[in-house]
Amino acid sequence: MQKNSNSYIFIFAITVSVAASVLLALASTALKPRKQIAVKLDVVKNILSVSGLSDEQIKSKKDTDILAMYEKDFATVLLDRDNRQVKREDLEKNLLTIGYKKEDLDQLYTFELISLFNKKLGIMAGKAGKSKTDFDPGYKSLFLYQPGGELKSYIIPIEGNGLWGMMYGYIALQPDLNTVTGVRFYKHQETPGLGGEAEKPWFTGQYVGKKILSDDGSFRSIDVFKGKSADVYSGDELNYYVDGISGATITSKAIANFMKEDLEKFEEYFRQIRKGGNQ
Amino acid sequence: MTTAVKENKQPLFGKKEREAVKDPLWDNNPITLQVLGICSALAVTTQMQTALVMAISVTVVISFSNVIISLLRNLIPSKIRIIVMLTVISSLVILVDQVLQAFMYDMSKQLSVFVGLIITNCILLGRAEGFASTNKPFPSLLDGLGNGMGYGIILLLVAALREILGVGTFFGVQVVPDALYEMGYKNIGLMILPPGAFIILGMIIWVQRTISKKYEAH
Repeated sequence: MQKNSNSYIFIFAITVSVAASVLLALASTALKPRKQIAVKLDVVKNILSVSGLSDEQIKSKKDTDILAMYEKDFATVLLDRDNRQVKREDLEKNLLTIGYKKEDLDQLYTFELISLFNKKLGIMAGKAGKSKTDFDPGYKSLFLYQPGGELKSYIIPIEGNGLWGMMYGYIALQPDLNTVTGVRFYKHQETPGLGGEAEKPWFTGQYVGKKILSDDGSFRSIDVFKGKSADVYSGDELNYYVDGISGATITSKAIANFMKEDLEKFEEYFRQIRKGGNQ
Repeated sequence: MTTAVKENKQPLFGKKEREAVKDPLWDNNPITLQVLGICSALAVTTQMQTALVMAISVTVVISFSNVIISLLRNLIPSKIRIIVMLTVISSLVILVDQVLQAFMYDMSKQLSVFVGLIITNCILLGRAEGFASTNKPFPSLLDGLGNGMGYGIILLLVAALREILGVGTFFGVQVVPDALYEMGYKNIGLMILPPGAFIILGMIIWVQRTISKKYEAH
C-alpha cells in the first residue's frame, strides 16, 4: 500500500488512535483504586492535622496506619438542613435509589458518600428540570475526633471564594464548641507568598485558642485583622482576631467571611449540644 | 539532522550521541536559545519542588515520545505526522498525570493544569519533528533526555532564584537567616508573581548568551 494513499493514512490514523485509547483506558482503570486511596488519604491527613497532629507525626506514619487511625478515632456526623442528624443508612438508601451498587458504597467513608451524593444532585435536578436547591436536603457534615472514645474536637469543613478561586479547609473546635483547636487550608489557588501564606503554620497557628463566641454566648466568629491585631486590641478582645496576611487583604477578608458563614450554619446544632452539656 | 549511526561499528556513546545529550544543556538550550517552553517555565517555578517534578515529567515524556516517534518514523504518513506526534505526546502526558494523581497526589494538586499543558510545550513537538522523525531510536532517546534536562536545569535555576528571593526558602526550608530579616531585609514579593519570572528568565537568557556567545543571526 502506498504510504501517502488515503487508505493507508486512514488505517494508520485509526490504529494509532485505538492503541492510544486502549493504553489510556488500561492505565486509568489500573490506577483508579490507587487514586481513590490518594484522595481519601488527603482528606484524612488534613483532618488529622487540624485536630492537632504535627506534619512530622503524620509523615512518619504509614498510609495504612493513617486510614486505620481515621477509622478508629474519627466519626462523621451528617446533618440535614434543619440540623437533624441523618443516619448513614438513609444516605446510602438515597444513593442506592439513584443506582449505586451496595458493595461499592460499603467501601466508602461517610464523607465520600456525601460528596458522591452532592455530585449526583446536580445531575438529578437537571434531569427533572428543577433547580438544585429543590432536591438538596442541605446535607452538611462535620467530623468528631474521639480517640479512645473521649471526644476531643469537632472538625468543621470551611470553604469559600478567595482571590483566585475556591479555598478549602477545616476548623477544629474543642468540646466546649467555642475554643479553636486548629485551622488548616488544604486546597486553594492563592498566590504563593501572598494569599498562599494562608496555608502556612504562622498564619493558621494564630487561630489556636481563639474563641468563636462572645462573652454573652452569642455567635461571633474570628476576624482577620489588617495588620497586627495586638496594636489595637488587648485582653479578651484579642480572642476574636488573628493578624492578616500583608499584601493579601482580599484573601484575608475572604477567609474571615467564609469561616463565619460556615460556622454559622452549624451554630444552631452547636447551641443544642451546648445546652445539653457535652455529648 | 544527519546523525547517521552505523550500527555495530560505532561505540554506543560516540561523539554524536554525546552531543545529542550535551548540546541542549548549554549550546542549544531549548529555553534560553530556542526560547521554547516558556509558558510552563514561568508558571511552575515559584517553588523548587514543583519545578523539579515538572522537569522530571517533561524529561520522561520527551524521552518516550522521541523513542516512540523514532520507531514509527518510517510508518508515519507525512500528511498527518504532526497530529500523530501530538497523539503520542498527549497520551504520554495523560499517563504521567494519572501516575502523579495516584502516587503523588499533593504534588499533582499543586501542578494542577500545568501537567496537562506539557502537551502544548513546544519543546516536545519540536524535538519530535526536528529530531526523532529523522533519527534512530537510541539517538532520539538521548536527544530527548538532553532536551528534557536542558529545560529542567533552567526551570530549577529560575525556581531557585524565585523561591530564595521571593519567599526566603529552598525546597521549603528557610535559607535566609533570621538575622537578615531582623536587619530589615524583606522578601521580594515581585519574584513570586509572574513578572518576577519574566525578569529572572530574561536575565538568565542574557547571561547565558553572553557567556556562550551564541546569538540569533540578525
